[in-house]
Amino acid sequence: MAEMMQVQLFSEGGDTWLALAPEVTLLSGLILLFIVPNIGDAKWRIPLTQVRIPVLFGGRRFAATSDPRLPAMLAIATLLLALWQALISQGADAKTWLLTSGSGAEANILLKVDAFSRIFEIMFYSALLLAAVASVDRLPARRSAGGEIQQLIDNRRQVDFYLLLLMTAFGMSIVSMSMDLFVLFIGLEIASLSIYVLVAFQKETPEGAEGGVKYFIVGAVSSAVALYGISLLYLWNGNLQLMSNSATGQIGLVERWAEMDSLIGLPLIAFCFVLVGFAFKVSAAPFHFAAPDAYSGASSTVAGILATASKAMGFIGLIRVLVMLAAPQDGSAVWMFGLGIIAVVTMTWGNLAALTSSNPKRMLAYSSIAHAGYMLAALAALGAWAWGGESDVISSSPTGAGQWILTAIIFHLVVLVTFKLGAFLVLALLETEGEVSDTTPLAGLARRDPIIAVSMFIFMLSLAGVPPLAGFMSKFLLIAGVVKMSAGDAFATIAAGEGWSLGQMHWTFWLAAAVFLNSALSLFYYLRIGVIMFFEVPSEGRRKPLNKAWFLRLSIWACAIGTVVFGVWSDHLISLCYNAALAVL
Amino acid sequence: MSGAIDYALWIPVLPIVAFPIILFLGNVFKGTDAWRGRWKEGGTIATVVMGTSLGLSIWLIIGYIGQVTGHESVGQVGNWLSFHMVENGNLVSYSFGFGMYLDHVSVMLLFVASFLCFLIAIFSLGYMNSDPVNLDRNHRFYAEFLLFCAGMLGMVLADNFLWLFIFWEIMGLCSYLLIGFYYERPSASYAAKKAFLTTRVGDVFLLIGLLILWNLFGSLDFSVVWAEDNIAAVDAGTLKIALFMMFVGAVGKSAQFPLHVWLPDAMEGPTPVSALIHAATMVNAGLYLVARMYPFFASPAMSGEFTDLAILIAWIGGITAFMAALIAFVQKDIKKVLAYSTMSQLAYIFTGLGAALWFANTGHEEIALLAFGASMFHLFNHAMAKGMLFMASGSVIHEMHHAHHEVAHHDGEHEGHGDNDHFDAQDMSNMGGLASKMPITATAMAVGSASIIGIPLIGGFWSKEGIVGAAWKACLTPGGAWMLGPALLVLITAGMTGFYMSRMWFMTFAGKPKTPVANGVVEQTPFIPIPLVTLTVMTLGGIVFAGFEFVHWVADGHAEMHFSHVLSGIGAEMSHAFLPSGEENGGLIYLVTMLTIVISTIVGPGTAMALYGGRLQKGEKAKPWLAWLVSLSARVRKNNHFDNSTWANSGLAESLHQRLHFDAWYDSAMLKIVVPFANACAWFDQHIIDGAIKGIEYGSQEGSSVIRRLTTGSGRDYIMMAALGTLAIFLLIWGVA
Amino acid sequence: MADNTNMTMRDREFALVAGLLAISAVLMYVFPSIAVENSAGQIDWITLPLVAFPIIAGAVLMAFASMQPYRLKDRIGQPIKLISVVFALMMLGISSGLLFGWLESIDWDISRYNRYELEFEYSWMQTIGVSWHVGLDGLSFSMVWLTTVLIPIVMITTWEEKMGWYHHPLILMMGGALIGVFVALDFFMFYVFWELTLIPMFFLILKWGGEDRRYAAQKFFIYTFTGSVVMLLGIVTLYFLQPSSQALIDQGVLTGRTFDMTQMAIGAQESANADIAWLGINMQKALFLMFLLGFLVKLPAVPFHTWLPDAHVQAPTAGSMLLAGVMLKMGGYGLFRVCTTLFPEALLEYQWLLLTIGMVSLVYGSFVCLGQTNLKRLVAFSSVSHMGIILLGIATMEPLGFAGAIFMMFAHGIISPLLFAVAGAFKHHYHTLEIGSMRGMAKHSPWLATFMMFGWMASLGLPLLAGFVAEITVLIAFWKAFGWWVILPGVTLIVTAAYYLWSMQKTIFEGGDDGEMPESLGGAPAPDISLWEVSGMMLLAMLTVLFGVLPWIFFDMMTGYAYGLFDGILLNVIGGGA
Repeated sequence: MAEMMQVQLFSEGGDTWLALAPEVTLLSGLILLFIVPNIGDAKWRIPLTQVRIPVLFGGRRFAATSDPRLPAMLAIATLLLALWQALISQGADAKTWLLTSGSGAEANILLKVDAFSRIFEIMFYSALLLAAVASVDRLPARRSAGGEIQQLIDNRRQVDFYLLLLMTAFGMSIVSMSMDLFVLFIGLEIASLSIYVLVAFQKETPEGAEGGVKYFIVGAVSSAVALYGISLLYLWNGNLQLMSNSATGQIGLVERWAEMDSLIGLPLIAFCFVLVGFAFKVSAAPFHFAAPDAYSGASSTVAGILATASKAMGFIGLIRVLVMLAAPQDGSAVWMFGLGIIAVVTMTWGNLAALTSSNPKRMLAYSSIAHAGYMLAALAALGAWAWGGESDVISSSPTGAGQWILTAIIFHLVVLVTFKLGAFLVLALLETEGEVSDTTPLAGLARRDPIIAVSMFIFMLSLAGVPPLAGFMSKFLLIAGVVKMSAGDAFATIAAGEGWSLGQMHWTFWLAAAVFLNSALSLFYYLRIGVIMFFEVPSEGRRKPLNKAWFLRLSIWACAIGTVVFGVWSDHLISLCYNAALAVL
Repeated sequence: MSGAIDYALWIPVLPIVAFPIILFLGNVFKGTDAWRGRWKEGGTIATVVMGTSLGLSIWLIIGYIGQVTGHESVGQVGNWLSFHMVENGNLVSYSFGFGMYLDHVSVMLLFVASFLCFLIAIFSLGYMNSDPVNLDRNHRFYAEFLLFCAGMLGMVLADNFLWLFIFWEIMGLCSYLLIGFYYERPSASYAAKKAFLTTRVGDVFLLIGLLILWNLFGSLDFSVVWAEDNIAAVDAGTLKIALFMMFVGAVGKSAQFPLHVWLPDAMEGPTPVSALIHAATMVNAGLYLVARMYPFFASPAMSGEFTDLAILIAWIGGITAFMAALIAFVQKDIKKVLAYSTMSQLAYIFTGLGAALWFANTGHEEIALLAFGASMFHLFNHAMAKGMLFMASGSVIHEMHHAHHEVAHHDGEHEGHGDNDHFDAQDMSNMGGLASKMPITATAMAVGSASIIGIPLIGGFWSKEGIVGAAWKACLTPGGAWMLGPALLVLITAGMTGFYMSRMWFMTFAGKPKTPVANGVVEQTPFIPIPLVTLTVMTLGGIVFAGFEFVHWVADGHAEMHFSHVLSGIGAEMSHAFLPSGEENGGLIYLVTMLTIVISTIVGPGTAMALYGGRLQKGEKAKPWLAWLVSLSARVRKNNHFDNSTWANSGLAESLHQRLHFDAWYDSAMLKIVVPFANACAWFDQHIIDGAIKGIEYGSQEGSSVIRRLTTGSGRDYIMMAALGTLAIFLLIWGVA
Repeated sequence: MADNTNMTMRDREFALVAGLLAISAVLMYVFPSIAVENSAGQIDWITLPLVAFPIIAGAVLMAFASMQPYRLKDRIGQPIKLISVVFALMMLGISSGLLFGWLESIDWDISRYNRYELEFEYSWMQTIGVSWHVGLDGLSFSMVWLTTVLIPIVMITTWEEKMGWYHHPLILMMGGALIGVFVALDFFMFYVFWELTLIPMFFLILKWGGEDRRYAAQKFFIYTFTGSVVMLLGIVTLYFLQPSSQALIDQGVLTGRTFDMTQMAIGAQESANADIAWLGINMQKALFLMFLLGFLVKLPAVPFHTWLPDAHVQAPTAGSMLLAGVMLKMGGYGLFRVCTTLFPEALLEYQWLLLTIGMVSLVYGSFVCLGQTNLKRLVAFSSVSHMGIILLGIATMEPLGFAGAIFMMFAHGIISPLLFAVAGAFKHHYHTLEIGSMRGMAKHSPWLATFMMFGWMASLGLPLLAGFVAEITVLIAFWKAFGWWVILPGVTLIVTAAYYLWSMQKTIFEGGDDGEMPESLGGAPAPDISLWEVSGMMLLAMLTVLFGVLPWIFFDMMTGYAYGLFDGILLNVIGGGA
């Protein structure tokens, strides 16, 4: 583990720029997106003279700057750069930064840059990058069609879209680093608000607007609740930092919670409120209702972001709150039981609802709800970490079950990008030739485009958890974590020659069983997609080969390859996630 | 050990190898002239192969007889299966091997089997190949025929019960295939199925018996299971159960009551098949198996343990003998008569074996050996006679067919086989007066019937006397009261045999032709006479075998054949047969013997003559050795003909026509119990077990639609749900805290 | 233009054929020189030639076919099928070479508990203790050989199947996946291949199946997946019940545990020798049941069998041949590889359970057969019935019973493909599967009739055919173990004969001189089966006879395996050494 250095944000001494390099890149990308498309031949006439000084800002745009493809290219470049920076700053010798708001007495610990935040940055950036690349074909930029004005409008639209995209990325990376509930909330809102707009971005279709509005309303309510909870926590603790600040002697929420000998109402109520906020973000039942509408309303690429990146954001919040804030030393978290119930309800609800939904986007929405349920189950099991003598979870002992569950969750969130987003991208590819509101566009896809069909089938199997695909690995790790947790130190007992039995397992073992039965249930609708693609005949008007949307295809292939590779050879990713988990605990 | 033994393995292997070859060649060259002509559609190969087998076996037999010591066991040819069992905590290794075992019994049966197989192969050359129905599918016949021969020879040679069972089953298969040779006839395919299933029931019993036997002895080799001390070591009760199970198997194979129903139907097969499988060889397998049980009964350790089993065997024999004879009374189909006669005669042998085993188990060894020898001798005689009889009937049927075609369509052409016209060439009531038209056949028939009936000095006589005598001896011996029933039954049956066999002969050969067809019959088919003549000689020569003290020889393993003693041997047999004396209650035995001779030689045939006798047409002249018989029958009929119509129309006769309703009962049991149960199972599987799966599927679909109805689509509801969720979280977490 | 494309097409074909033949030849000859050796100095014949190559080759061929424009596919079909067969024959050559000792000098008849030939271990996913660990013993090798011999036969039999350019490569991949199951010595790998086999079969049924194939394919997939998911839970639990070892942690295994079966077997053996139940009897029973469920569903045994009839009735010939021939054996194989090897105490505890399920499957299955009128359903249920014998063999807890059960797997693996080839040909030529819808097949399709009769005779356990050996051995052990219960199998033997003979009479025989054609044929003349089908069936029939007459070729191997198993662990459990 590299040394941890605590420096003031943007202070002279510590080169915090390095720590925040990706974010800086994103910001500069944002600014460029503002400026570049507005560069034109605008001139400023010196008053009383005919001298016109070109200010290059406004006026008639140059061909290059008004190219509708420009924003996309800028955004992609930015995300690529950010991703690259995040990647190179990975590794064992990577520094861990604690960034404070100031020095001395008024210093608040705001951000923590470590393996955890890095892996999530990577995940966010890659997800958004794929979405951005895909969107190049999704938002057709009609060059020089409909004259300048139209071109300008297209350009604007492109700019808006990618601005929002980059904004989302920025907010998400703040969430992944935040060490202060308020900062976390800010980041959350930055991301969420831009996502709300993205959902409603298809203003041509009524579903888009409707879904976006619904999503916004429910999201706003839950954020309000969460904010209220946070404020109560502030009331309780006096600050919202998670870690205690040795420099100023401020007690962080974690320590305060830990030293609370008996549960008192105020923090508990606050905690519940915060929980609600994040539960909406991960679309856990019963806060998930808006999700399917949003998914089906939004364009598939955006829906893909919702299902992967924004969900991950919510989980970061949950991990912070549950694991750090409410982490009991004795290993019987108050929230364990409740979360377990919610998890089971969520996964079952999602799967059952997906079973008969004919709209593939809604189906995928429900399936992502079910996946949220799986991860929640793992989190619930995490509450029992100190069970059965393995109370050394906080220490980085290799037998700690806590790391396992966290590793699994992080792994799952990361690989979700490959197959869940991939599935949405396939739908996006189909959307390029018309609305996708039922399964007819998928019918006979295998004949029209075998490769796309096969990748879609791979995504489906991966979602269902069929080996040897990434989805299987992630589910497998989740289960492994839960079982490990519920087995506790059974191996020690056995090694001592005494017997063991299922009855002696922690009850969270049955969460694992629930996950497995649910994934069996989910096969129903995942396979159905495969059957429709390979069995049915293409519907009228969809007989021709698919559009050559090369960017879109590129990202689909990337997802497919990722799905297979992370399935058969996930060593490196697992160790990355493991380091991340260690960084949290 | 003679050199022959080294080639003994080829006796069964040759036919087995020829089986696929003939099938293949037949499928390739089907229809070509050479194949039909020179190769006789495989018949030539079959004959050559069986000839070779016969030669090898005779070589083997002579070598065997030449040597003094009895049993000769060719060591294991190889380990067929080797395995381990857990015996009180340790792994013990066992194995099944294959080897050959020769003793007097197997040698005798080996001769019978290979000899008859060869003769019948020759017979088939004439019978099968000259019938247009079989054209282009005779190769199937010959191939399956050879496979059967392999099975029979292998079973005889096998040195353990496992391989005995294996070849036993192969014979069953061939029987199935050959009965169903005319598969396009529903009756044939039904009969084939019936035969296989009925014998299968017995086979399962046999199999279980062998399982028990193996678990008793840890082996199935004759040499092991017959070893005195091994037998002494096992539990008598269990052994008895095993023997009983094996006996049931024998009952199935030899068509004894109550598993007899298949044999009459089996006559659907071509006549050579009936001759070979269902008269001469396969049906003897059961007897062979029972004979193989002799050492268990004879072992002093088991003395007195198995008497009831022996008595059961005798009873089964007696009942079957009587029943079959009874049914034979009313049969019109010449082959059916022979079929029932076969059942009846085999039953005789079972009775004899039962008596022998009873004696053996009660410690009267030498009488036991006599009875045993008599049974084996009867097996020998019956095989020869019955094989001949069937071939003779085949010749009759064949010629009748031929003549029918001559008459029906006035040309020698054979277009359109007799399926579409309703003339039954096997019905004796269509025949009559053939004695002059087919002399060889008639002679063979006469001699064969005589042998079966037991006319003095002719083949079967010697052995049948022994059997009846043995049965009576048994029931006169203290403790043998139970044997009275079988004794009486076989005694009566002797007379009945006399009746139905002669009835058959006279209906067929005596009197005037009852149809124009019968009038047109000519004895012309090639090859058929050869086996007939040969077997006639064999049957008549029964006396010589008797002279060789065949009975003693085959019975106790250590006796030898003294060629010098032939005459004295004959004398001994004579005296033994006609004037049994010097034994306890010899008088009664004498009486019984005489009684048997009288009723079987005079009463039975006399009645038959009275009813069915009659002289030939004008101008027809039978051969002298037949003529006297015909005219005798005519005279008897003229003097004391009586009207049997009241009896013929009685209810008894009716139920005899129904074969005493056994088939009906079995069929209805099948249809009323087994089939409904099976359908119920199928229904249960589809609607209950699979229904549960479908129920889960349906239920989840229902649940899905219910849940999706909750997603109303209005934001208000969503928020309300979220509020409820918040409440739930509070409750859940407060609840724990 | 057309000529032009055809020319290029032909060139492409030649290129494809030549190239891939060359590749396979290279693989065949060059491989040994480049392959790694293990400590025993054996070459790794398993990983690449038997598992990886077929899967990769199948994928490549299918990708190639999918790139061809549709109108040219049938031209490319022949070479692709040819190459698939070549690969299949390579696999057969290798496994036979191992059997007869041409490649390695291995005495398969001698095997000891937890000792494997051709054992190779490569690190795979080190972080979670997964390794690519393969090896063979008497049990798995017989199954591998069976698979390698079936694959080419299936290809030949179904040579004329439509869309052969996808069909045959799929079969090839199927073979690789199946062998992967049989050679895996690592639970993770075992499970991965276990599920991998579902995918080609799913497509075989979906693309080439009957009318109701859609339902059947999904039912097959979901049903078996559900069963094996419970097994996976068992695997994970078993995994975390291992003590974590510092040595593994130092190797970078984060959990400090391994999925290696052999390691677990060592643990099981040690505790068995110490007369304590490994993991504690309760835990062992729980795990036993979890695994058992997965295996019973696959086997399949009553009441988990209802996916089988649907799958078989809808599956194409190749599908049902492989399904009945090898996939069902995965269940039996798992029972031996896991349940008897790792959970002997639980096995002893649950002897009654195996006995009950096996008996029910056997008897009930045969009666259900008697109630069927659909040919494929009949054969499918007869498979259920025969698989019951495997359970009975295990329940006897006798080496003979085990060997017999394994041989039953082997024999059934040869006989049932023949039956399904026949049923498939019947469906293909007469367009119906209804028994009794026709008469006198023996006249119109003599070859088909011959093989049907042969197959059924073999299946009802006729001596000197493979099935008999299995039945007699299991029954001998059965009598020793359970005595008079043997009556039920006895009844089954009769019932089996009954339903086979009944359907034979109603299909092959009767019908007068010119038979009765099913109306599904619409008065068209009934053709006999094609040369391809004949040769495939002929090969299977010859194998059936071969292993019926010379069973020791494999039976000794199985006896050896059973001996090793009992000698190594089971005797201690049964309470041996008395």
